[in-house]
Amino acid sequence: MSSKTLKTIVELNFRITDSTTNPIISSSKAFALAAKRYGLMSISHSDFPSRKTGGFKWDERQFSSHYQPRTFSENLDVIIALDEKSLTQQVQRYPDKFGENTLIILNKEDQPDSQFDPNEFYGTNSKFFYVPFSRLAAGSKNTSVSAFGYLGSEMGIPQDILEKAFTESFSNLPERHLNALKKSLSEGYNYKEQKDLGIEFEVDTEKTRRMLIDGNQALAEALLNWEVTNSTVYPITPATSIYDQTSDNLSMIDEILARGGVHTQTISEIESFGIAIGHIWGGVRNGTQRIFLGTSDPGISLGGELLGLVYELPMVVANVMRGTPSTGLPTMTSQSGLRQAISPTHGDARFPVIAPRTVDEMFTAVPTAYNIAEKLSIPVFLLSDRELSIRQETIKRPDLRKLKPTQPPKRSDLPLKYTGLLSYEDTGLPIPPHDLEAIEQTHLKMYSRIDYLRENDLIIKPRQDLDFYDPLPGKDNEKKIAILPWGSTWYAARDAVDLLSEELSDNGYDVHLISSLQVYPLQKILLKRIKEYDMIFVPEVNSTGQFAEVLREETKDYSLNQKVKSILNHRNVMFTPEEIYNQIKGELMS
Amino acid sequence: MSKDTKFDMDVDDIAWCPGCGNFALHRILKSALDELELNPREVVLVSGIGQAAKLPQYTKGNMFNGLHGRALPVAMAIKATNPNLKVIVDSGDGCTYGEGGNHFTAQILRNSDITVIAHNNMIYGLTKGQASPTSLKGFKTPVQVNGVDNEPFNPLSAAISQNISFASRIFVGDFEKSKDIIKQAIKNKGFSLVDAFCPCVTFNKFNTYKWYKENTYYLEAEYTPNNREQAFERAIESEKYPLGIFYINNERPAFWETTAAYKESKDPLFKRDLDLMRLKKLIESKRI
Repeated sequence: MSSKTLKTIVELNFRITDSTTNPIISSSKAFALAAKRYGLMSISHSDFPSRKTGGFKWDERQFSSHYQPRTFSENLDVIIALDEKSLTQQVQRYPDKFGENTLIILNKEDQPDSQFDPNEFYGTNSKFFYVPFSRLAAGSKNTSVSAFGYLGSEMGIPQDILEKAFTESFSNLPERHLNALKKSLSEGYNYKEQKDLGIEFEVDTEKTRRMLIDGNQALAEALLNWEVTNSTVYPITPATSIYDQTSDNLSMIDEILARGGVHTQTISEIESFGIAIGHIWGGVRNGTQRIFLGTSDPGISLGGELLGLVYELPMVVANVMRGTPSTGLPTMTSQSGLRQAISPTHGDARFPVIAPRTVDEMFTAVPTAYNIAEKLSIPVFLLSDRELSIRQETIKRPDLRKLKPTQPPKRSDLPLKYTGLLSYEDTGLPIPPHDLEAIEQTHLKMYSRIDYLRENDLIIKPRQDLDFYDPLPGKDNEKKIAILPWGSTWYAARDAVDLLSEELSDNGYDVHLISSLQVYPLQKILLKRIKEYDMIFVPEVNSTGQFAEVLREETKDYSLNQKVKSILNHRNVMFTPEEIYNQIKGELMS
Repeated sequence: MSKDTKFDMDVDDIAWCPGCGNFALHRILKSALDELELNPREVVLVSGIGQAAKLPQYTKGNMFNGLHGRALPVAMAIKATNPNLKVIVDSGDGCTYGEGGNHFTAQILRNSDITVIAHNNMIYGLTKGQASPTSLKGFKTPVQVNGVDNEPFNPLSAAISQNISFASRIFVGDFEKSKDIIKQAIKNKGFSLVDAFCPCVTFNKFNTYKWYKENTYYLEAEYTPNNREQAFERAIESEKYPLGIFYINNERPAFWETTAAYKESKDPLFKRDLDLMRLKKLIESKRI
């Protein structure tokens, strides 16, 4: 077949799907690593019934040669289906992802029956190709490898880069299986000579030095960089992979143990929180030792009572939100943990909450979280979510040396009105025994320390690029609206601003993006900004508009009820920019 | 008889009823600590919630009085963070065996180097007289009006079945022998259980001092506590309840000993600096 260029592209939206036992997500990560080394930037998301094999699953990547993608294209450019069942499910579940320019590559020998119309059969209007990936992968149990060999060849990724990335990623396989895997990669790669889709990627030769990392890995590396020494965990999806593997090929636990710290896998989140308190009681606090606890919403529900009795607990609790109730949505995403993080234990409790918006913001969110925790000597919640946790993104390598802890703040630096009677820094044990009056007073003061945070900005290296965005600077329309996302909804909101700006400007509106890493209590700068807008849209992946509520409470301005409009998505999937765009347009034009 | 100890505190508002078994156990424990020549600074008493769990409040030493059932994880982590401390959990049967039951099993399996003294009065005292996990079958309370249906929890057989490091039972009516057993429990390296028969004089009118005296006896002088099967057999006796040390197993390392942090040094964590060179070497060794 002759080579015919369908299109020269700088961005490619790709999905691979399967309903059998192929480890497509591991293969896709290996492929993204090769693509990164070739010079492509990417983001990913995926859906899977379990961490290993079996059942309907897919992995989606947005590749770009010129800029870092933030969200996924509306339509797929290429989808590889390793079996027919998974393709049927894709079309049924995600009909909008299939457009007329979508190339569907099905794992099949060429269709001999010329009367058969796959579009009619599957209900699409896309372009169909058949490639016998199973035959090409003969000898290997992983059909997806031949598929990625083929795709890599189509995208112009050199074969040696691909092979190296797959060999590294599957280095735990026995040699026999690894050889079979390399062979199927090569068979897939060479199949382009027989059938060329004609994709041509225009690759920018100016390669940026980026790292491919997911949200949980970034969190783990940021924690290690900030010299966290003790951790305690009860495994729970999607938080568990924080502990799995960092880019050094070590697990976070390897590194904690190598630092001479203590890591404990517990029997429940109740035990996890209990152990964290025990570490503090045994003398681990400000300075050389730090404690981290990673879990998800149900774990905080279970262990949260322990947070209510502690007097001083400078630690960071990460909640990789997946939604509750516990059994309802095991591997979906959510932003339902905000109010829980503020008051996880009883109605009087108020804990600071920060919510990193992007994968790379983990590196500044962790120092910020510990900075607040150590200054105020109370637990700080770091809210991530399932999407952020598994989202692999090519990020600019952060300058870790600049993000090393220096002299930690001390609670005794706080004005007396926030501290209560106790001061037990630099001592072996924290609480002077039997001084119940002192303990109670300290307990009450603990909650007032939130007020200190309202007045003082403790964010390390604020990200102005994430905090504010004006797509049409210089325009000064009379009416101003803002989109105010929190956490990972930032990605979709940022692209939605671009989609909206021209159109709304023509109708007399300025549209800006405003946002903050610290979501409770709100910072003065954000509260001041809010006043400038006629209408504020708050997109959230939950069903009650938790951040919008916080906004109303924190401003103490109930006229905001009119100005703040929630855009809610309780389907437990991430927003697309188009969804936000449509809802805002609908609201303004109605 | 008890005398003044380093662990005495001048407390005039002890909340226990006159005659409560907790007073006896309190005296026994303070004497045991004193005779072990421990200093209040190196002892941490950890408790949950209940009448028994108030004991640390009345004792000189470091203390942590936490949530119902949750004393054990806190105690385990205090020991793992600072192995130089003697960590003793002192709580009731409801807190230790009921609400904290899963922690009880987990810490036995982990072999945390702590001593657990469970005041076993077979009743919930703080909430004024409902059945506890160790209440005997048929025991009537204002809640269990037709008598308790459950089998009573047997902490000793449960602990021995999981190969605990040290399992014992005392009756607080016997000061000297109880003190000796508690001393051995505290000296033992690993998870040590002292199930303490400790009458509640107000809400349990059945399991009284007299009842405990008549329904207990000491394991024979020739009994050796190193046979697990034999220990289990003695632990499930219920016609009369044996007292003494049922089982000792010192072959298992204690939790903190297997923790990488203490391979080279016993210094508590808060006294340490990070050894980043060692970490760097490890990272280098793992790079492909």
